Parts: sequence; structure tokens; C-alpha cells
Amino acid sequence: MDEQIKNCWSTIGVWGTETDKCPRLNDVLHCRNCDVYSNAGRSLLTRAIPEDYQNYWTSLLAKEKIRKSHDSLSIVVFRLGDEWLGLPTITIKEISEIRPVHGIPNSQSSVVKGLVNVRGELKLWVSMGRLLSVDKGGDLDASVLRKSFLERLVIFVKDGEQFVFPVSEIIGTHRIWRENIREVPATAANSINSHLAGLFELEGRHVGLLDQELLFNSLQRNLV
Amino acid sequence: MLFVIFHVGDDRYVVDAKKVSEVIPLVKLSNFPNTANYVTGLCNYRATPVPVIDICCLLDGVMSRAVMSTRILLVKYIDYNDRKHHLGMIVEHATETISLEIGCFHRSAQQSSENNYVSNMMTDESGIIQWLDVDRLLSRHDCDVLYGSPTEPEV
Repeated sequence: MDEQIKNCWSTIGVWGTETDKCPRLNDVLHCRNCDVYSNAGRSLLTRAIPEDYQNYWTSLLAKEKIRKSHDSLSIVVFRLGDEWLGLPTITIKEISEIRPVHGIPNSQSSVVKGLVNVRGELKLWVSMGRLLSVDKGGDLDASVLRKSFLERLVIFVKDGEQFVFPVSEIIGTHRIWRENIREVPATAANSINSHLAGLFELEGRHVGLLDQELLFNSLQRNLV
Repeated sequence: MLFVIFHVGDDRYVVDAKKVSEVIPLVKLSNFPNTANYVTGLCNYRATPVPVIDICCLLDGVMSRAVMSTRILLVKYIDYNDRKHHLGMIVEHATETISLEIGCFHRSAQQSSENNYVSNMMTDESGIIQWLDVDRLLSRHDCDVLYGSPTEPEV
């Protein structure tokens, strides 16, 4: 780079430690609203092209594009206690914030927790943790506030029937190549593995892809 | 309609985003001898040679600056004979796309000339935006030089 960028934002700006703050902050409130900051960012694009960057792109572009398959699956990945699980995005109608659950008197089912009001409709609140025998998990370092901040309600829909279940955290929607989804090891036959369609890796973690048919059948069996 | 916006000097131009198949950094090009001065060279794009032209040079007579924001738009070029080609366009400030109403564009006055590649223009609060028609960028002669004449058998 030809000219050194004056990084005022980390001295007198919002990321700075000096007590004398920049007078512009009174007007713009945050450095990211300030034109000094955005112009400095833009100057990154007007610098000369590094030689190795240009060489890398030249050789990359000269090669044939390799894609083994075009078959991929969009998956919503969430955390349930200590387990990372996924469901095909197409089976999820909505993800919303936690709402109060209304208990059903004389309900014998351990999976059905009650009813929940979602946009004026009463839907069944089921405990996925109970169904799959997943512990709530000991988020030892996470405070109660953080935990409840991350919790979400997932509305799962299959053949027109809807089930609502809470999850500890939504990781996001990810597109996974089908060739990267491995089979579930047959040796591990516990409640959660018997509901899985496959396993894949995401950000260094193993995520279990739930089988929507098995999950749906299992939920129906446990309604009463 | 979505457009890719870029600068030539201080002026802003757009091309139809549907015509752009890829935006790549300014890679190293091989020389393309005996061509017009705005033809910068040949790009090895996925093992096929693609001619690359410098839009700043074509429109303004000044070569593009070799900086990070100067990029190559790989466009799908359809020539006067309806043949499809890849064409690389070196443009400055190719950092953004912009959504513009097609109804806001006015027809440009010079419709009759052969390569009137700036066929439409519009104005917004910061000035004029001109719409480059990619398919009319090259004259018949230059097109034949770059892609071979349609009457000659292709080698």
C-alpha cells in the first residue's frame, strides 16, 4: 500500500482506548457512519493488485471448474442440548421466538408438553429432547440469560400436520452436498441414531440429519 | 432489473447483470497481436481463450488503472451473426450491482450509427447512468478479428 491509512477509529474512535474521543462521534454516533472510516475501507479497493493474488487467480481461472455433483440439500441446523441436528429446510415452516406453552390437563404423553399460540393458531408443543432422549446439556459457561436469548421455536410441518418444538440454538441454513452426507454407524443404536437419515460435518462438528419420515411417525406414536 | 455498475473516468455505466456470467479480478492476460488498441489481450478462461477489451480505453481512450477494484466482467456476447461468444470487459470500480427501473431509461439520440453501444441512459440524484449494450460493443470488423469471420471455416 502506498499511503498508510490513519486508523483514527482505533485511537480516538469507538474502538479506541484514548479518553479524548473524536469530535465527529457527536454527530455520527459510530465510526461506521463516518465518511473517514468508509473512505479508508474503500481505499482498500484502490490499492495495487498484489502479484501473488493475480497469479493465484490467473491459474485458478485457467483450470476447468470441477464439481462432482449438483445434488445438494438445504438443511436447517440447530442445537438441541449438546447435540447438533439438522432437518431439511423444506420441512420447516417457521422459526420463531419462544412463546408460553399452555399445558393440557390429564395429558399422559411425556412428549407432548401442551399447546402454543402461533399467529392465532394453536399448535402442539412437543419435546424433541424427550423424544430423542437428548439431555438439556450442561451449558456450564453460558449464563441463563444467554441461553434463553438463543432458544427458538421450530415449527416442523409434514403432510399438513404441524409440530412445534423448542431448540437450544439455531445455527443456520446450510446447503450440503449429498455426497458429503454419510451413513449413520449401525453400531450406535440409541434413540437419537434411530431417527437419523445421515451424518455430515459442519464447521468441524458432526451434525445428525433427522429423517423427516421417522421423526413424523415417532411423533404421531407419542401423541397419546 | 439488476445491473452491474462501473465507472469510466467519472462517468457511471451499467450492463445488464443477466449478460454477466462472472466477475473476476484483473488476471494476467496473453498478448493478442494485430488488434485494436482497446483489446488488452486474451484470458485463459477455463481452458478456453477469451478476448478481453478495456472499456475505459474504448470509451475514453485511457487505459484502466491496475487496482483491486478494476475487474474483468465476463459477459455473454452475441455478435451480429447471432453467434455466442465469451467476452471479457475490463472496467473500473466494478464493486456493486444496482437495481434500476427499466422505465426510467431514455432512448439515446444517436440510434442510427453502427456501434451505438450506449443506447439508453437515465439520471439519478448523483448524475447520469448510461446503459452499455454489450452485443453492440464491437464493430463488425473487430468482431471478425477477435472471433474469426463467419464465412471462414473455424480452425
